[in-house]
Amino acid sequence: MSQINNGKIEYGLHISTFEGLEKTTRMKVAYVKAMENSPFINFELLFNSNESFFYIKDGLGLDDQGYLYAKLFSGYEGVIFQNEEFSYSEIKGEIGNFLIKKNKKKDWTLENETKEINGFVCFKATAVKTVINSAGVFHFPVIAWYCPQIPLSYGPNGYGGLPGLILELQVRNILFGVKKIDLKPNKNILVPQRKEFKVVSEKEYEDILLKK
Amino acid sequence: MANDCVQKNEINDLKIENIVIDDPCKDEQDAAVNECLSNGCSEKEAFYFGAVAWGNCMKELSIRA
Repeated sequence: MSQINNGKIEYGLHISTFEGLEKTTRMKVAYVKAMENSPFINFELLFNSNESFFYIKDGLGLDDQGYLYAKLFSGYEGVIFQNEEFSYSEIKGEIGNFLIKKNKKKDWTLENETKEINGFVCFKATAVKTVINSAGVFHFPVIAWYCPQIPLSYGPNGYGGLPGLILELQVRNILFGVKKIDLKPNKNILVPQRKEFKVVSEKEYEDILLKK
Repeated sequence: MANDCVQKNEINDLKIENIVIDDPCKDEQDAAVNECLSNGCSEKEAFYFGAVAWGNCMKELSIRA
């Protein structure tokens, strides 16, 4: 099969429990609602050879709050633009409009495992997501299945940096799984333009948010 | 009513009292934030989780009132 450089991928969301959830009170309740509503959340990744655009598709869940929790726990904050080196998350809110700029993840371990996803041979890569907050330092496993037949370093929710498009991504207990692949090898997919918001790092954005 | 009117060239020294109202849902918000943080949420995630908990608490109070 020839290499593909343009297309559209639809991802579904699956939220499962995590170790220790049963010991919580408020999070346990929120997670039940999030898990019920996650099947109703879909995302789309538009991509061409230069850039990609990841966004949530309009939809309704079983209830507004559960839908909100599912979005929150998925880690999705807003549309994400990616190029070869960076990802930019667009945040529009009461405290202002920002583009959170992050380096593409590079500390992947390429594993020997393969599996077929929607007819594409995908390879496994693993990494660690580190969260540092006021309660401590946490490390969560990240598993990505990327497809070298689509030799672009993009993926869902700002993840990328692999020698192929990520078709499936699991971050701790959050799974982005491919639902539909629409490839256009002879057509250039136009990706929306990034807005000219103030560019900040993730840490800078958190400082602004928490000061509010 | 006529007694309340300010006479010409008089200044009524009206003091505005600052009434401090307790936030009845602050504890609930803080508890939600702390629970989220201690389970590995980012500061942002915990902030929003706490905000939702605050909103739910206020809604609950307004229903009870």
